[in-house]
Amino acid sequence: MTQTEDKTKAKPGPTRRDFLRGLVGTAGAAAVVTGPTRKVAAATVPLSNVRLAPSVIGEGPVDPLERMRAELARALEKPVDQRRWVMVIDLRKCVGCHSCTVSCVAENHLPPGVVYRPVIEEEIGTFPNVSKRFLPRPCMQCEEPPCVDVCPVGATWQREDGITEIDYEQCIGCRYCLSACPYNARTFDRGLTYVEASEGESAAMVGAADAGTYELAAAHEYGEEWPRDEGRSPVGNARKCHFCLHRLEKGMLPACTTTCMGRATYFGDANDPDSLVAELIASPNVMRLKEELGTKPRVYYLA
Amino acid sequence: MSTTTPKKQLSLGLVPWLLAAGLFGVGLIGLVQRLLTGHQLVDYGSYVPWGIWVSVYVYLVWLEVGSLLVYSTIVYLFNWNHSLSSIKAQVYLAALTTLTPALLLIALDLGHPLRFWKTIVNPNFGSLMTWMVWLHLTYLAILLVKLYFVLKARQSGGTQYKSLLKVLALVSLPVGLALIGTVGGIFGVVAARPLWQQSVLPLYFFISALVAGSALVTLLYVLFGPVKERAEYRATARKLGMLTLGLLLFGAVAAAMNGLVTFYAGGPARVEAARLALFGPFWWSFWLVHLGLGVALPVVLLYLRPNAPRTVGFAAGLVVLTFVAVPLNVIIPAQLTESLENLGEAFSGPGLELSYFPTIEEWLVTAFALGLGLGLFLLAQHMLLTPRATTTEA
Repeated sequence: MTQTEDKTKAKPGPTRRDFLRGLVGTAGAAAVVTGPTRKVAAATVPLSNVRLAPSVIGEGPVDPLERMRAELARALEKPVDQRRWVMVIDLRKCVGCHSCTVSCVAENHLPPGVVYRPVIEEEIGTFPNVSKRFLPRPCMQCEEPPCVDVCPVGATWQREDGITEIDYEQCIGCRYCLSACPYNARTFDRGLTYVEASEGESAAMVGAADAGTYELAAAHEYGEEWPRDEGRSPVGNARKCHFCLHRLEKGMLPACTTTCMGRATYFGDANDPDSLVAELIASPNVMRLKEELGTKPRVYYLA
Repeated sequence: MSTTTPKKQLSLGLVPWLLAAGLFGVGLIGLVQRLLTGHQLVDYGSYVPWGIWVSVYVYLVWLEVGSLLVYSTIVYLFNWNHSLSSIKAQVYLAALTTLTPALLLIALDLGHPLRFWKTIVNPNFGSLMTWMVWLHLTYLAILLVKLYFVLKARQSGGTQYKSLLKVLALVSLPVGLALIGTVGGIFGVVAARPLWQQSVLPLYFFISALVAGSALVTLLYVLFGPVKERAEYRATARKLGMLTLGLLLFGAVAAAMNGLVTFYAGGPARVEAARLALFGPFWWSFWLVHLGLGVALPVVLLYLRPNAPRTVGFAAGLVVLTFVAVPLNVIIPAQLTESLENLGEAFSGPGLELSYFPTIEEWLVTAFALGLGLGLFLLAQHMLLTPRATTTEA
């Protein structure tokens, strides 16, 4: 019996999700949603290792997030050099809510002008035949990263698990890596804050003082404390998405993945053949941005 | 043996002093602002990482290295007439005082200028930027040694150190070539920017350095060359003018060929960047400043009045001044094209726009750096070289 057949047999009966899906009537998207969910039920995840949310237990299909958390825990048991973190973004399921962008900003305390994961919107067609397409763009964590070689002081490098890291204390802020990135995935921290940037309006802003405190609080990137202080890193540095490395090391998925309400973002270890991402990147409809440049991104898109 | 008197020198009067003081004084406001507010008041950022400071740095490197390349080549390799050696100190001084604002601008452009030393202590030799820093510092060292011996020779009034200076000049040729090539390579290797990424870009940087450098040597010769009334002075000024004219025309033809190939090849991103350089927000700097004042007018002047040193000097001065538009037009438009469609609208914030125009602070800091360079040159010329202008020169 093939694995697929096994999974198909293991498919549970209709759930609340199936019902809602029926209401929406998006058959194509539904097929995608059920894809990863079914596979969970085929016991690819050692559920005993995972603490499932009460709402999930007994409901039938396991939320892809729960599966990915379990796979993350499994991956973290392996040595770093045996992991290969990848992200898969299903463009058919992205509704352009920008919650990934916002959660990333909140998670990493990003100041004005710094963004790790913008969602690019594209309007297709002319009125009245118009549709919209959304493309979240995190750092591609390229296998052949053009940003690494150009750094004059070796402040950025590729980890064994594939994530390209920046040493904020080593970075001199020359921005060569920004120029070299074909995806514009690196941004420059100019030392601005949201409260100061909207100084004229902050007096009338409810909670401006708390907001100021919040954005000056230390970020936890790369597992270190980075309080926001004038002239102190990461101010003056190149900054980029790091797949929330500090969260991964604590067994948590990247912020953008957990907050994606359409479950359009998947994350995991591609070296784990049973992982959700390993299955997804084997899909025929997978693509990567600017493949012609040979950068071999580790962010895959399902189209 | 020839004599030179202050009366016979082309008098510059107070104008350059006032210009330097004005630029320095006004620019000081920008410098203080930059030091107090960091990068908060600049227009470059994430999508356009390099702005006017990097562009002017490249321009100054072209002048600095180009002038010495041209000078060393025509004096030591082609053995042009001896009157050129009388401006040796000025040429070295000009190169050194051009280097000062160049290094200042690039330091202020860094997010962490005080970490500059890391490029020496923790270099990544896989990066061309590291090579640029090392070559630039090597070049600076050679330049300082050269200037030291030139001044020492002037003080003793003899022709000592002639062979040493020749060796230093010849050593500086490959270092200068490597530096220019590396600066060009920094842009040329960036595959993410289609307008930059071409193997011939370092060659274009080299040609640009020669054009700007020959114009600077010509200007310096017209201003500080010996014995204005002598035929040799006119002949040398004419030769230098012709050299500048030839290099200028050669550079213009090379750039035109490159432009035509770019447009005919039709790669969308590359064509868009080239279109922005010609017809984008900086169209005026290309057509009016560079082509009009920097190429067309000097070509006409140098062609029509090659025997008039003042005209030759004026034309050379125009080339020197307006050549700043060239790196601006190479560096800025290439960054204004979208790497991914609609990325510029995806998330708003300072530095996340695909547009760039220098802020007042950026202009002021640039003015400060240029004023500093000019001021240092005038000061050094006045203090170190002027007394010698009244004595004899072999």
